[in-house]
Amino acid sequence: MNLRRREAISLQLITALGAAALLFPFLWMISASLQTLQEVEAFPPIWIPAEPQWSNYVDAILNYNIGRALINSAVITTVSVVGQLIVCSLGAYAFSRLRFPGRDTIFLLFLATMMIPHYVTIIPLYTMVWSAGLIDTYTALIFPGLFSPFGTFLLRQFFNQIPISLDEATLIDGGNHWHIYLFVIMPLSRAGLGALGIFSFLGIWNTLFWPVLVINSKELFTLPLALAMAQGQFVTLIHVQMAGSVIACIPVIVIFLMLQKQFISSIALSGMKQ
Amino acid sequence: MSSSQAQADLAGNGRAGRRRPRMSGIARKEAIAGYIAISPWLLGFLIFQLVPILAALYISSTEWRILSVPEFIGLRNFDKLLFNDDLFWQSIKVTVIYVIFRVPFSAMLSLALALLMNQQLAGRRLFRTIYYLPAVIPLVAVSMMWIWIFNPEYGVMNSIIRVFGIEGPQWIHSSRWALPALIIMSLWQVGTGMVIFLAGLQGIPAHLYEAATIDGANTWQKFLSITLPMLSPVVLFALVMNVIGSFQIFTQAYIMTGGGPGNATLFLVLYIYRNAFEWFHMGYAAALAWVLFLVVLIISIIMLRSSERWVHYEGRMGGA
Amino acid sequence: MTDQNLSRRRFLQGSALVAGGAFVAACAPVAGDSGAAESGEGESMSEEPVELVAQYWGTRPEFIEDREILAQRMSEKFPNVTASQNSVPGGQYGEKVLTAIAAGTPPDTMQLNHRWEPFFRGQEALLNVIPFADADGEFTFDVFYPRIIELGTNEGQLVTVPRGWNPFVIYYNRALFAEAGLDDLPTSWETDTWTWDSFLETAQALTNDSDGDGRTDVYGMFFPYWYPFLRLGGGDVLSDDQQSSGLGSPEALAALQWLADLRLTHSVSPTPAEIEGLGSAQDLFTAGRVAMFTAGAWGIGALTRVEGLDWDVGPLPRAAGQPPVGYTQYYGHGIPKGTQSADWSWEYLKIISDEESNITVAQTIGDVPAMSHVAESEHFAGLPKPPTRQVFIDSAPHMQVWPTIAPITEIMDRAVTPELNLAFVGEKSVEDAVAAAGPMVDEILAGFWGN
Repeated sequence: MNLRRREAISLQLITALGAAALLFPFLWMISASLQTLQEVEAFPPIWIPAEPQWSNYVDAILNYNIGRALINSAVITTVSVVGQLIVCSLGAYAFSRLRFPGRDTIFLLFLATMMIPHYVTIIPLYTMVWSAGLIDTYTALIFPGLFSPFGTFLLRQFFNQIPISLDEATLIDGGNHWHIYLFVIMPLSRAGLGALGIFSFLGIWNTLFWPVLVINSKELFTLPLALAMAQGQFVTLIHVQMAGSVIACIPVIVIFLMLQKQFISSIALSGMKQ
Repeated sequence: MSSSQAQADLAGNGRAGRRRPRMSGIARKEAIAGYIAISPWLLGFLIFQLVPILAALYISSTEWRILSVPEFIGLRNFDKLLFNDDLFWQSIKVTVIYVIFRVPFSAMLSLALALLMNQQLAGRRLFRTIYYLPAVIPLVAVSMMWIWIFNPEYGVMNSIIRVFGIEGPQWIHSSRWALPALIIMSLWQVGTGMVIFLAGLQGIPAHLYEAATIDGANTWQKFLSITLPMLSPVVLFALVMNVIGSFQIFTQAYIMTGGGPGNATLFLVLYIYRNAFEWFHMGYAAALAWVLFLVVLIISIIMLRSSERWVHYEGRMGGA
Repeated sequence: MTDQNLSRRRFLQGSALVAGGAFVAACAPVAGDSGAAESGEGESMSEEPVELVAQYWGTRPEFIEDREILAQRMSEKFPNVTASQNSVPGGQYGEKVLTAIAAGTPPDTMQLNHRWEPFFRGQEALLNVIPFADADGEFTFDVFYPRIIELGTNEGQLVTVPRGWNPFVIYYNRALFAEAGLDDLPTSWETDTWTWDSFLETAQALTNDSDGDGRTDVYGMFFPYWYPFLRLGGGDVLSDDQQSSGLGSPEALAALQWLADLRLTHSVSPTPAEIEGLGSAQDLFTAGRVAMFTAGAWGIGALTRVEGLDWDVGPLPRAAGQPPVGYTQYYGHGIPKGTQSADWSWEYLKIISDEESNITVAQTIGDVPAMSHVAESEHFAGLPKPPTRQVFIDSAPHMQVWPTIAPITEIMDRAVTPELNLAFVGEKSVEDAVAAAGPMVDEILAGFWGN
């Protein structure tokens, strides 16, 4: 018992130490967001600003239109994440649970598409989006991202963890595949769906390359676009950018806190104890 | 058919296909349901992924300066990169070294972290969030922080090394140490892997652990005989994604080293980007992209095929 | 039936339509190749509603405001025109414009500088503006600095109407100069006592370790750019006939060695590691860590905003036996081929480059306007800070620019800079770096000329 306690305490200590190391950049980002430009650029870095510059936040929100961008990003990201969860889970279900000709070829094919850097496919994609008259619309930002091979692969792996006996029980009870998908697989994959939710939220929330190409109107700017505006050609307003970054981080952290409930379950409490 | 069987093996999933012989009517119903389920995804995939990729395949056989007409040159781009481009081989070398070091280390670290975060710890939710934070912070802030950490004179890294009486290297300012620096930096972003493993751990039924405890298994035995096999589909996913992702490393090098010093961190995707959008050799960039594709595809196929031996799918093994 | 017959745009549109058939693409408009009027007189300009977009890089609030005003003025002058701007961060400019042009939807005007002009010109993607100017009664190139027009004209073609230029000068901290007992820098570019030797002596006098901890606190100088010095020393990246590397010439080798020595032998310039975290040269300068640095006129704007900083500018020092060199980077705007109407683009371009716009360049943006009479007026030369603004203007007769050959970015980024950077941190000798870069430069040039 004594050994157990000592083990537990040392684990706790390691966790805390590691956390402190990882927290370092985050704390600096918050600190930098409250410094003057000169303080931010001082070297070695200054940790406590002489006087907190809350005006950086005002500057970020007013000059770089962060407020509007936040709303845009929220709309685009929410629609994209929900869409991805639906589309990818359907695809993953088929790849995990159904037999149909060409299944594994398609799976391999889609896996392979992740290996091509988008820099070489971006012009054809842009041309398509433009031909469809979608330049400078939300749709251009949302649609191409919905069909994520990453999400489908992730969910397929989670679905494969679920015992097939449950499917068979449903089929014996007269259910069909929609029943299995809705009432067996989805409820049991909350952890996987939660993880995908976080990843896709973060990915879409932070993406810059594609929005730069397809968005022209300031009214449609997403958060990364608005933040990139603070990046000057010769002078980067790091302090304002950091204030914007802090604002940008908050929704992601909130989403993480919300979704991480999916990772805590009774199993962890009863099964993995020591 | 042996070829479709092989493909099932490649995809690491022969589960549903192999087990139960079914009546053709049911099989047909299942196939139709399958097509319906994947159709939204498949349609989008074909339009938004496959068409641009096929276009890129054609582009790779052209000399295309983006603003002029693409000129068909057959395999000359591939000929050039294989036999006449030292920078291509440099970028392959640098990228492969990065992947070899990064993938196993970061997988082990994030698995360890996930196991740790699955323990009964005070403030577990808080720690979990903190460990995920590095993935949340914009790369600009992250990179600036690491530039400081690696600063030869004032940086944390060399301060620690100095404790042992050794003067640390120049890190990102040295063509020898820049790549190791970026590898070390990459290990810090293990939050994503942690979340995947953590989610995977929730899928392991508690009764397995209870049964093992009754049998007198210790923590390590439980890890080896229950956690690892049950987690293996997720481990496979994490490894494959990690390999694909590591081959795509770009932003850190773009911001922190610009590929230097002296091309020491010229990763393949950075080289592709430069060829495409800075030097305007889109045809050559596409050819490079296809080489990257082939390399990653071969590695992925090897991983998926070998996974038959170590990945445990619940349906197939019939409940441990 | 070769693939060459398939035009780029048709190919792209083909692939788009194949895919787009799945949704609405079939009925989408497809831009034609027409509209690239080669002459200014072309079709008469209609009164139909027109939407014009000017493409820029740089996104600081004052830039955005300036461009908003230009768009408004265009819309006011022509009631049927709705003019707007499209500004992207500098790092994304290439992707944005290239993608748009490749898809057949070029902006109506686009910003150009030494970085972009060579490539777009080389790809014949820009219209020659001279015919437009000739046909236009109210426009003349005579108001611009003649040297800018001369350097920009290539085989009778001019693609950029200039708006501003950035002569490189030495910015110096007068307080640190006084502390070291040094006189102010000369103001004339012809001064023959302001040489590389006296520049080095000045830098040495300024470099010091004020707290005696063995670390240099103030560096005499900082050169974020090596190219101006290469030109000052009489060398260049390319040979005179532009057929091969010019880095092996005695002048080029001597200049590069001198630059490397500033840091490695004389320690008057910081290494990259030592200045880390401080961002740009002017940040170092503002912090008092560097007494002199080289930059274009863009330094004025940033430094003027710093209160209590006593600074001024001086000419670049002359190398032994070399004439003065006023290295500069100019920028302006051009008309991409394939715009909806080249005549409307020209009208927009005229407003972007006119006198009122030049005044904004001088007063708000802080660069030297391209129109000489605006530069020499109270809008630029007459402004109080720095006291010797004339130094910028006086560089005009000695103006030299970045190489204009189309593959220059590839030559620099791929072949030259990685090698020279190794030499500047002491990992390689200058000779070895130049020897390694040379064949790569030659190869890129051979590929370029061979085409």
